[in-house]
Amino acid sequence: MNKTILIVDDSKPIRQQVSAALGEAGFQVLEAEDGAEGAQMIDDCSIDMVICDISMPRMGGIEMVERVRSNLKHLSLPIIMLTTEGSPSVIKRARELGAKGWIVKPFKPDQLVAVVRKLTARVA
Amino acid sequence: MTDHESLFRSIMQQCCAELFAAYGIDIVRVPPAHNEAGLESLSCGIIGFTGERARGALVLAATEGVLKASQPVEGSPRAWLAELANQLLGRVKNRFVEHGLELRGSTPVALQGRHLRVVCESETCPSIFSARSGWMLAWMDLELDDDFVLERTQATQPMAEGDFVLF
Repeated sequence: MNKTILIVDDSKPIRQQVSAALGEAGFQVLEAEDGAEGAQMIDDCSIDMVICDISMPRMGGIEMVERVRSNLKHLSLPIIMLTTEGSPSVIKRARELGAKGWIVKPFKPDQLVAVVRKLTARVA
Repeated sequence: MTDHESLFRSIMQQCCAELFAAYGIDIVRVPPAHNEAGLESLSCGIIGFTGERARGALVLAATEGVLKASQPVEGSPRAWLAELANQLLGRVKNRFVEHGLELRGSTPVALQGRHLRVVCESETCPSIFSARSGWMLAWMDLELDDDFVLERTQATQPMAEGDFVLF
């Protein structure tokens, strides 16, 4: 069965690019427009991995990771950040909260697919 | 134009070229007089920013041809321009950190106008670029504290655009 990946980003073009890249590679992709919607979908749907922006309205990526990790059910869910942010202090904070990786936009589709394959294989 | 403004403007111009190159578009900076006939329809992506010692906004404008040529997947050119403005500010932020200036960006917005004319009044003149598929402009309204001092910091360098790391 195909793995399900959730992309959380307020930018529709980024959601479309991620969906296109992962869809072509055989993944099922769900989309959320901000951290609040993303956290809700993680609770409600069966998700194998999350790709998340940092700066979003309503709830940002760091807050979403914190909220998701506070639920024991989601402790092993792989979450990577896909963002324009490259600041070491923000990366450190996300890592401490349980993010599993960091990609600075713009992303290369092949690279993203490889990262997703690697992380979803770990939890297979 | 002060040394600070000149430096930050040149960083922004370099970041513009790098951003569009990442999406397969080569751009060349041209003098303002070159583009006046080419701006009948122009979209603008605008993103505000703040920091402890600076505030302002960054504007990225482009003709439809440049936007379509740079889009990796089909979709709204306006939404794509807002994302490009976001990514441009991301690059600029990462370079400014090396000079002791930390910024936080807001959510980008996009606007569209027709028959727009670029007004160049010395320091506020946008940087204008030509591409095979059209024109684009970028300018940054940057307000620095009066006592801001340019410095080269030894802080850990930010991750570069396109890089990734797994923890």
